[in-house]
Amino acid sequence: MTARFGVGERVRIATRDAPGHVRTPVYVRGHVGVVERVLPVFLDPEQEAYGVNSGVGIRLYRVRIPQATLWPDYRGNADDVLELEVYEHWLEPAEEDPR
Amino acid sequence: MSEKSDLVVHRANDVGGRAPGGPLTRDEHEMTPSEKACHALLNVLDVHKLVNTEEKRRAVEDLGGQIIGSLTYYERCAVAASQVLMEKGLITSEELGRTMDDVRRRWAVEP
Repeated sequence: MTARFGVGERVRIATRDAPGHVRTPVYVRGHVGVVERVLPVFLDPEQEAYGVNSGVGIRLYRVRIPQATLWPDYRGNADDVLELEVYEHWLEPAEEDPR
Repeated sequence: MSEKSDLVVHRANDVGGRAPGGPLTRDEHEMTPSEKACHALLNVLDVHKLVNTEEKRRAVEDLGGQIIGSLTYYERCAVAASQVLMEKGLITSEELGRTMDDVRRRWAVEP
């Protein structure tokens, strides 16, 4: 399965507020980050969580987001980043500079 | 997000950025025999494709913040696994209740 995004690419995490078990925390939704690494394809946890056994695989990415953009009152080092793993169907291409 | 949407969408385990923050309390303990038994049972359920990790995590979330906050990790997992088994029609609440009563009698523990 070809990866839609490559290392260094800017991505926006979707703002998709729907019921259900998902692996994208609310506080990162809508934020822009950079793909830090491309990870393997895993079974879609959003379907697996409901006993569907669909066998659908989804690419996972490690995405890097500056802490200062996540938390308006962040007082740590300006270079601090959050790295979290996000499934491909939560990512959209982003043109904006994340900083 | 509206208050109602937040209640539906922002599930109990999604705690990032939620007040109150503060330091984590780290009180690790040796696993008790019942926790080890629970851990083993969860592995068996997973290997036999009866309750997978995703189903277990989802069912824990379904318990809601109040129950999650009151139960220990393995207590949450045990309740969650029982929910998934009931959803799949593999056990009934009646069967589970009878077995729990049997176990209580065996160990002479007050219900």
